[in-house]
Amino acid sequence: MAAQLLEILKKTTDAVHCREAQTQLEQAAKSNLPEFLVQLSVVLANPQNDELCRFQAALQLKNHLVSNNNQTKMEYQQRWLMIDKNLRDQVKTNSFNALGSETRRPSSIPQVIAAIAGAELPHGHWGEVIQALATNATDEKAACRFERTKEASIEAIGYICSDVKPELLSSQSNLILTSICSGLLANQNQYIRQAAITALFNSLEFVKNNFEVDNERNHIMQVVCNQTVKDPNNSDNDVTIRTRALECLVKIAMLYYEHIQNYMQDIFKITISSMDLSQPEQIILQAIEFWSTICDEEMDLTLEAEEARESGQEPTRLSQNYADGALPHLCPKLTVLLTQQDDDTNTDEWSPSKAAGVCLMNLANSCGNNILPQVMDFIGSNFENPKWQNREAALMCFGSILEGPAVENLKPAIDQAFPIIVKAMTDPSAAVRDTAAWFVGRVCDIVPEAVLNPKIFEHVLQAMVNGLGDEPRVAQNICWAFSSLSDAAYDHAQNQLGTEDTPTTYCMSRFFGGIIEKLLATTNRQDGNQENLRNAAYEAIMELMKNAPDDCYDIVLKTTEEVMTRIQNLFAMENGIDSSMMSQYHDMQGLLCATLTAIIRKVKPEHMNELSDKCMEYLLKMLAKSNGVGSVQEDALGAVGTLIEVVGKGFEKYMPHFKPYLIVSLENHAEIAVCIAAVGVVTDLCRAMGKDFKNYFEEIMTKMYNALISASIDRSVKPQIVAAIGDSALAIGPDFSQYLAPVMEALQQAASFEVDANDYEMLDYQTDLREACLDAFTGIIQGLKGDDENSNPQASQVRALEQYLPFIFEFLCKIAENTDEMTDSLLKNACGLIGDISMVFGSTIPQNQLMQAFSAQGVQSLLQLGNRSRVDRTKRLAGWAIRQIRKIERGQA
Amino acid sequence: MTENRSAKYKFGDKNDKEARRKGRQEEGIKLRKNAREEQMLKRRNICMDDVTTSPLKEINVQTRPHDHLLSIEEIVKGLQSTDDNTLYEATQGARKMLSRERNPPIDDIINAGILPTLVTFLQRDDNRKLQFEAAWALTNIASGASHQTAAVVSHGAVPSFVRLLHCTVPEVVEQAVWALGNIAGDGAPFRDQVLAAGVIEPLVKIIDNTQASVPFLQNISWTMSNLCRNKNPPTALEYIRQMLPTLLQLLGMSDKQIKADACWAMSYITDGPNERIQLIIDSGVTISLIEMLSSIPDVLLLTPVLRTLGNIVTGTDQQTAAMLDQGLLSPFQTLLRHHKPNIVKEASWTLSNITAGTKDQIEQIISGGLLEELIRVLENGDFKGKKEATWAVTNLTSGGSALQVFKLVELGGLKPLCAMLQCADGKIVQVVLDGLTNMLNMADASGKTSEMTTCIEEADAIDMLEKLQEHENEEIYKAALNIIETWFSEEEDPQPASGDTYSFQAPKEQVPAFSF
Repeated sequence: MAAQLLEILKKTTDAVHCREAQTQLEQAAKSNLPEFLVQLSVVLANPQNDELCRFQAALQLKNHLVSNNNQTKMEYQQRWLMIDKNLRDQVKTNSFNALGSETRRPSSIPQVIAAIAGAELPHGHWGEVIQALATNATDEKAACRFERTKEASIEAIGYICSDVKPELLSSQSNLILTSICSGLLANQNQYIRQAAITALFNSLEFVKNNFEVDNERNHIMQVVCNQTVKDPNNSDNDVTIRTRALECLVKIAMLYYEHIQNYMQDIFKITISSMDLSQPEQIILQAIEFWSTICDEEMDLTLEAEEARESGQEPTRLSQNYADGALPHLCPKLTVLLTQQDDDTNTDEWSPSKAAGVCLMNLANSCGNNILPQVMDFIGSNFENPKWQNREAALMCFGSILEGPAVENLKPAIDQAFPIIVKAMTDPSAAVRDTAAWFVGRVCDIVPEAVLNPKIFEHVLQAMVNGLGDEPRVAQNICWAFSSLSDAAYDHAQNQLGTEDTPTTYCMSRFFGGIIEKLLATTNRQDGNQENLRNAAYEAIMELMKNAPDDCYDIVLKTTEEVMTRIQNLFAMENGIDSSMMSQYHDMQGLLCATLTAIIRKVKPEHMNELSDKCMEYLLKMLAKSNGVGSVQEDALGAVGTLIEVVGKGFEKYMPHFKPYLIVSLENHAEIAVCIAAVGVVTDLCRAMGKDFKNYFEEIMTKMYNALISASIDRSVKPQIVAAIGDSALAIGPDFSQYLAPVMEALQQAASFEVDANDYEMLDYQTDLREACLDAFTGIIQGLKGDDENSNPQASQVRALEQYLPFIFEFLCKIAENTDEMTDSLLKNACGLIGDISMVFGSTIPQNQLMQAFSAQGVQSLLQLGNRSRVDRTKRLAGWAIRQIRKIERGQA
Repeated sequence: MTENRSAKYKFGDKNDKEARRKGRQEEGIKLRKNAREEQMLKRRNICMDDVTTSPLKEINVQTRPHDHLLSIEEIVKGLQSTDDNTLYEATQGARKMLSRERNPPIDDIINAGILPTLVTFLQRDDNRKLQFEAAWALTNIASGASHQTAAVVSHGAVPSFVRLLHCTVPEVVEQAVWALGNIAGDGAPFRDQVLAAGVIEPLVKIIDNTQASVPFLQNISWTMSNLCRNKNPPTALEYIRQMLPTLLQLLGMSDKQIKADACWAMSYITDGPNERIQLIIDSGVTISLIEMLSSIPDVLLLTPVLRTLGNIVTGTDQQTAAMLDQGLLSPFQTLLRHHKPNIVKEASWTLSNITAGTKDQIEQIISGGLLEELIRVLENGDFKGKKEATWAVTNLTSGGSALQVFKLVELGGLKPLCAMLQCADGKIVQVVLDGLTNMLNMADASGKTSEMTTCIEEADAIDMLEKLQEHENEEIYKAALNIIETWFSEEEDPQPASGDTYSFQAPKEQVPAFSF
């Protein structure tokens, strides 16, 4: 049997018989898996066998135990555990004994051991494997065979550490650490040390207890730091070990920041000397990564401390400001690295110079103003350096540090630099132009007032327009800069006028038409799919449309036509698209829909009338041709929603055609974004159609209801649905009463949802959901009341709600209690609802009963909080509600 | 790792198509939310664009769909007019701009130099509409940051607002109360200006007038609390005397918010010299405050009541004894188990002031079963509660008798107390170290040293103490060292703590040697 198997395995290594052999192996596995696995281990265990065959045997064994697919992996592991214990033990013993018998690297048997351990340890079996591996690892015999066994055993430990859940191993962490540390002793060969440092990297999560104990931590840190040092007697492989050791330091900084204080002086020396140009690239990258990680941690800690202080608590952990202390030494190293760009072309490859830029960004964010004196000299003296590398580095450096320091400290330097930047946008080097364009975009984002400065504004704009014709990577950065700039210019105009309405004009008006034309041309560039240029250009057009002042309206209209033509052309192209271009084609569909949305939002109703038929025709076609691609559907639904808003009741005529798509989308629980977009459209329909929504209500409500009560749907859609229920109740008015019971049942469940107070993400969701519930209750109350002047408040439709009022009051009080989670919009909605209740039920419910409900502490504190809100609207809604209640109190209701 | 870093390189993050689409989705949700809100306002017959009254006043609906908002330039120009209508429109324009939800341009308005004009409008008794708009605009400015409040005060608004308190138009008075509350709340200097301008007398009159509505009274109560607030210096005693009867009156009202603010005023008053505490005790209000401790379930009111009583027991031993005689301690079993951590904290703090008192007072805590409760807080409370309980227990070790201190050990207080040695708050660590030192001294004097050292060892404190010898705070490390050396010494050789903050030294070019 074994001999036969050996033959087959041999065949897998030659190309001619490979396929045949695979089939035979599959059959063997199918007919008797346990026996097959045992036989494989027998092949594996015999060092006389051909090495390649043994390797294949190991591979076969492993592949019957693990898979990249988690589900499959679990099934394999279950299958393994079903095998008779004796047979499993044979496989284990054979494999274990074979550890170290391979001459190839990487060796395969440690992976087999880890695969078996991965199946057995979670179920409490084979607990002794760690002990056995540890014994191998710490064996002091020095013969070559033992060296390989030691290496392979440590490798196996490393694999196990990376596969198995930490909590299963933490009880054996001492054993594991002892093996690893013995493997890292200076007298071990490089392969053993390499295996050991990798194992250490994989074990860092679960050695928490050891890290809490001073001398154990000291020992681990010493061992790791020692590995970062170049071994004068050792050769090439040394770099791998040193890189891994630095990676360990990065991970330690992330996991055990609070414990590294005593070692920082040494780690500092190590990382600084590792950033030297003479060092190999991977070493430099990890040293930079260490400091970027320190910045991440310290920014988090600073935030945590602020939050704690705001809520009157002592922070539990404090930042030690290592980044601040290291700044004067780090900045010179990083700026030198910045000048080491590969060449004048753009690659995605991560390099020390890119990493240095991002590290400077992190340092600026974390150290604020303190970074300025460390880098400004470098920036100033390299702007016009004859070497393009230095010019690019200066721009990169300046752009990277914009986000931390105070604006007033930055602005003079930016003002002074701008003429040079504009010049840099026509630099002979594409890399310099690229970074200059990015720099302008960063300034538009972070310090917009510097670009809006009238002295330079036109120059910058001109340079930007020119830049759109540059290489894709430069043009793409310009596009993002236009997005930010239009936003900043629009905001500025609004602030000048002190209004939130559309300004009549702004500083870009004169250039608006030219910019749009150039951007449209950019989207058509042959090389537009490079560097994401086409996307960026469309995004810029959308931003400009959104932020168009009154005097650019004509151009907005003109752009509508262009976009429609493009959609038409797109349909015409459809049949000629081969599958490799499909994803680009779908991107185009989505982008054009999104652009159309941005435009429709601006178009005045009188102009929309002419356009809407064609728009709708195209959008329906788009939905029909979306081929189930969610992103296209989402963007098309977005455009439909905006169109509904503008044409209002006139949308009714499209409903017969549109409704099927809406229903399908509401049922699309798998692609939540499509479902959310559809719910949004429902909201728009309700508002546009009013009572006429009745014709669609039941069908749509059923779909939304199903989504609401589904346990498997992504929860992010639920607040949207809850609010949309309110919208539909408001739309159809008193007729809603026939659906009241089931709807209120679902809403009560939604309103009762409560989460763990420590789960911040879920707390946000809870707040959203509560806000939506308040919306829904308001919509239902107002809807049932009806909107006629002479609607009868005694009508049974409204009174049907009375039985739910105790619950609603309870809900309000629950909201009031949770002051930590109180947002202004929650407060606003709550005050509004209280006012609605008093307005509607003031005449149907006995005064003393109603007043008793309103005098509940929760209700009172909501009103009081609302009345003191800094937000005008909230304050007024609270005032309105208070007056409504006062009317009841005085019997005037 | 590289992936999330490369997102930060250049516009790596903006090139994420999914994120852009997500942004569009969120924008859609936001726009719909706004539309919903507008629709609701219409149904409720509230028009936000043009309301000529304060938030506290009845709204007369006049729908004017989309009226034009004035720019700052137009406002400045309008305010130079001689025509009352133009002045009114400009003032209203300023008020609207200041009532904007998003970043009201308070500084721009101040820089436009229109504050002096607005303040003069407060004198325009002949044009109440104008007067009211100006008052509202100034209120909104005064509710901003300190320098913005200061701008309003510097143009002489305080006396004008006080004068308006005598006015006959209720909404103007309400607005003035609102403004003055904001100004007084800014800090001691402005508070004293408001007081010196004679704010108390008209306020008292308004309260005596039974016509005042509940929301108005809430406002007044809040303003009065601001008049008692802030130290350095605290409100002058004569003003406090003047306000006290009114505060007692407000405290007796049925509305909880009115009560709560009056009570906050009491807490500010008692947060000061003992003569002020005596003033409150003499007023006789404490009996009803203590009664409220066990009768009111809501935190809104409970917090200031507890704070006031807690302040009082920081006073003299006699003042504390008076509170104990009135039955202060009986609700504390419940309070220390309150579901709001903040109440537990305040209650523990109050008790810590009593354990700092006489042996007799400590005995009352023990016999009331409160020491067990404090230990429970020390063990299971939230961090703020633990801190206060630490103080309470440590205070006991310094003023208590040997028996009382042993009682603490017997009830299991040592272990949770020692556990606090691990917290990050240096002050608390010091307090615990003091407590341990007290306990050891006490045990020494009673000939029970070895019992006490054993108990401390069993509380796992030795490791923690040894760790503290590396603490960066010199006093902590000395205190820890002292305890170890005096009572637990086995010829330890402590390492002095290293320097304070991080100033790295640049490495020499050669490979560093590591020694940990």
